[in-house]
Amino acid sequence: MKQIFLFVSLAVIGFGLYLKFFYDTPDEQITINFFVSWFLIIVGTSSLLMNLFWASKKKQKSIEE
Amino acid sequence: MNNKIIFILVLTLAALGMLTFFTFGPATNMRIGIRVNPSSLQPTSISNVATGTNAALNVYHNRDLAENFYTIQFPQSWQLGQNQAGGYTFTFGGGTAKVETMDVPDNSTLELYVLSQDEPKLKSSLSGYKRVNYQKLSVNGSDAYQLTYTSTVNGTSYQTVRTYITGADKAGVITLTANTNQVGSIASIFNPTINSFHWEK
Repeated sequence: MKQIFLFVSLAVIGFGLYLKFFYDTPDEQITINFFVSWFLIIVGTSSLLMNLFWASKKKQKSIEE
Repeated sequence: MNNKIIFILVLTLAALGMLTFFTFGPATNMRIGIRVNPSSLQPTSISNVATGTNAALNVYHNRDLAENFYTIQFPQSWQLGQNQAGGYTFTFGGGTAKVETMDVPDNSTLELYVLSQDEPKLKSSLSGYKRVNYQKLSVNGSDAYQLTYTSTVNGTSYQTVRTYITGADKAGVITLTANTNQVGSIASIFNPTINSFHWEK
C-alpha cells in the first residue's frame, strides 16, 4: 500500500513538472497551466512528505514495542 | 495523525491558497509578463517612400507579450477598425486588411501548420475558396510563407494575400483582401505593406 501511495505521489509530481517545463502551452492557457502545474507539484510533494512521516511514525512505534 | 502531518497539511493548504491568489489575483499580469508596448498606444505618422510613391504611412506596434512585439506600416488613408490585443484591422476602398499574431505548436513548423491546419480551416470557412498561389519568401530576414487565394462574399469575388512570418514565439500573419477587379492596381501597396513588417528585438 505504501509503495502504491509513493508511486502515485511521484507520478503527480512528475506530471506537474512536465506541465511546468515541457508542455507547449498556448499563450491563452498560460495562467491555467501555471496554476495546474504548481498545484500538482505542491499536492504531490506534500503527499510524499506525509507518506514518509507516517511511515517513520509507524516504524518508531514498532521499534518501541 | 501526528503533529508533523498536521503541520504539512496546514502548510499545503496555505501554499494552495497563496497559489490561487497569485494566479488569479491582481498580480497576474505582472507574473506572466504581459505589458503594453508604450509605442503601440498611438500610431506614429511618417512620410515614407517605401511604396515607390510618396504615400503617407502610419506605423503600428502590436501589444502582446514582449517577444511578440512587431512594427508594420499601413497607408494613412486606410481606416483603422476595432483595436485588439496583438493585432489591427483596416478597411479601405474595395478591401480589408488585418495583421495579427498566431500561435504555432512547438511540435510543428510554420509551413506545416499553414498547409495542414490553417488552409483547411480557410477552405471550410470561406465560400468558393480557390488557391491561386503559394510561395516561400523572406520578410526582413524572417522566413515567410504566402498563400494567395480567391473567395466569394455575397456574389462578389475577392482575392486575398495571406502572409505568415516566422517569429521567436508566435508567427505574424498579414491578411490583405481586395476586390478581384482591383488586385492589379492595389498590389503596389500590398507588397510594401508586407515588407514593412519586422519583429522588434
